[in-house]
Amino acid sequence: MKRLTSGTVAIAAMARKELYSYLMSPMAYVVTAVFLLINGFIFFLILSSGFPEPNLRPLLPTTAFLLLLVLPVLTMRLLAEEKSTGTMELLMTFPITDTQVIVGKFLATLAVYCLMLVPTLAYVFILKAFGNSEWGPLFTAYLGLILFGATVISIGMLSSSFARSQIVAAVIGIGALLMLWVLGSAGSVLGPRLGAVLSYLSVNEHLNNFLQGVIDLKDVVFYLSMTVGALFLTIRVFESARWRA
Amino acid sequence: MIEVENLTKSYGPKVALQDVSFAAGRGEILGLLGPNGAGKSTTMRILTGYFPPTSGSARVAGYDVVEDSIEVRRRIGYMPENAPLYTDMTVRAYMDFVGRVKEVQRRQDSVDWAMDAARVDHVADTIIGRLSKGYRQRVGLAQALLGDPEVLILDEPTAGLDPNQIIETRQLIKELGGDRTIILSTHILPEVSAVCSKVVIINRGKVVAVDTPEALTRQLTGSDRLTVTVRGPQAEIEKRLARVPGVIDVATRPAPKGVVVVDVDTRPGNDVREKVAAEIVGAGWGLQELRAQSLSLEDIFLQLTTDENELEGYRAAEPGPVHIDESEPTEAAGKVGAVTK
Repeated sequence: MKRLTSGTVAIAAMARKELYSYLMSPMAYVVTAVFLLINGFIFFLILSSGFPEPNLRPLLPTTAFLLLLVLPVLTMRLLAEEKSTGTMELLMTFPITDTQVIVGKFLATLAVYCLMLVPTLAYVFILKAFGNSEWGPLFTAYLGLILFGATVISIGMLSSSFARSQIVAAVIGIGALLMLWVLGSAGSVLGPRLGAVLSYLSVNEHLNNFLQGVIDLKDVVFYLSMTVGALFLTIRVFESARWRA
Repeated sequence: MIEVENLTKSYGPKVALQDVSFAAGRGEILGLLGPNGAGKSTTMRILTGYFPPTSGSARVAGYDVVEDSIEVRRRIGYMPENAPLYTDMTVRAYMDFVGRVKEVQRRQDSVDWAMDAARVDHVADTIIGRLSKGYRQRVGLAQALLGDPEVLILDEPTAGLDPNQIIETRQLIKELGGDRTIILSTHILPEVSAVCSKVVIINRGKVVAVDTPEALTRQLTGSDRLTVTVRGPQAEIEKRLARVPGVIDVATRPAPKGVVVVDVDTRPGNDVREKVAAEIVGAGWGLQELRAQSLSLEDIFLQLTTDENELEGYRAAEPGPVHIDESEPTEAAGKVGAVTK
C-alpha cells in the first residue's frame, strides 16, 4: 500500500511539473489557438452550408485529422528535450521509476488535450440551442475524441522517445499517425482479408461508432490497448537509455 | 557508507572503468581526481543508479546500486556535470518539483533551507533560463541538498563559478561534510587539498592512488624531507647530519655568503626536526631556516598519471601551478591535462 501511495505521489509530481511546463511555455497556447481556429472555421463552413444532421458527426472526422497533425507538436518535447538538455540524467537518478516518469508525462499531456477540447463545447451548445440534438451522441463523440487523443498522445510520446531533436520527434510522430490513418483505405488495394486487418489498425476507423452515438467495447479496447502498448514501448525505449549509456 | 568493489564499465569495446575499488565512510569528503576521460563521471553515474556497471558492485548506505536502485536514489543528492536543469521553470518551482519527487518531509522548509545554503534564495522567483551559469550551478547544488541526503555526489561542483563563488562553494561543501559522505570530482588540484579528506586518483579508467593527500605525499616520496639552511662548513654539516638517528640521506648544495642548503631525507613519520636543530646549534653553526617539505598534489598527480617521458617534457616546458583545463580534451589533455598558469 505504501509503495502504491509513493508511486502515485511520484506520478502526480511528474504530471504537475509537465503541466507547469506546458502552461508556462507558448507552445501549448499556439497549438491550441491553431487547432481552435481551423476547427472553428470548418464548423462555420459546415453550419453555413446547412448542417446535414444535428450532431458533431460531420465535423469530428476533420477534427480528428487535425489532431493527428497538432498533438505530436505538443508531445515532441516530452522526452526529446530531456535527452538533448541532459535533464534526463538527473531525472533518472531521482527516486522515481521510469514507468512513473512516462505515466506522469502522459497524464499531463492528456489533461492539456482535454483543456484544448473545452472551448469546442461551444459547438455543442450551438447545436443544442439551434437544433434538436440529443445528448447521447454528443457525449459519445467526446468520449471517442478523448480515447482517440490518448492514443495519438501515446504514439507521439513514443516518437519523442526515439529522438534527441524535437523536430525529428514531431516528424516521426506525424508520419506514424498519418500511416495509421491511411491504413483504413488499404482494404480496396490489398484485398479483403489483409485490408480488414489493416483497417482494424487504423486509428480513425474506430471513431465512427462513437460519432454515431454507439459505444462499442471493441473500439474502447482498441484505443486502450493501443495507448497502453505505445506507453509500454515508450517506457522500454526510455529505460534502454540506461543500458545503452 | 560507500563501498565500491572491482567496478568495471565498458562502452562496447572501450573500457571506461577497470576494477575500480574504494570506500568512503560517514563524514568523509572524497575527491575523485583525474584528467578528462579518466572515468570520474562514469563512476559517479554508476553510484547514482543512472546506469549499471558491466561488472563489480557498488553499495551506498548499505544498498546495492543495481538491486536497490530506488533506495540508493532516496539517499543521495546528485549534481551532474554542468547541472542540467529545466530552464522554463522558476528556481522555486523547480525545487518544489524535486522536493515532491524525492518525497521530502516538510518540503517547504527543506526547499528554503537548500536555497539558502546554496545562496540562491534571492533568485527564487527567477526563471532558471535567465540565470547565469554560476547561478545555475548553484541551483544544481541546491537541488542536490534537498531532503538533507546522507550522501552527496557532486560532479565538478565549482566548474563555471567565479573565484569568490568557488571559495564559497568549497566552504559550503566542507560545512556539509560533517555527518554526510560527499564524493566530488574535480580537475582543479588545489580543490582536493582544500576540501577533501581522501583522494582517489583515476587515470584511464584505473585507480592509481587512494589515500589522504598527506599520506599520498609520504607514500610517493617514500620519506619525509627537511630542507635546512645553515651557515657552516659543507662537508662537516653533511657528515654530522647523516649521523642523526632517523635520517636516511643528506644532500647539500652551497649557497651564497657561506651558506649551505641541506636536504635531509628521513623515514616516513619520523620527526627529526628537533634533533637536527640541536645538532646544528650544538656545533655552533648558524641555523637560518628549517622546514619540512612535501610534494605538492600537483607533483603527485603528474607522477601518477603521466609516464616518465611526458613528465620530464612537461617540467621542462611549464614549471608552476597546475590547473587542468576543462575545455575539449586534446591528446595532451587526455594524458596530463592542458596546463595553465
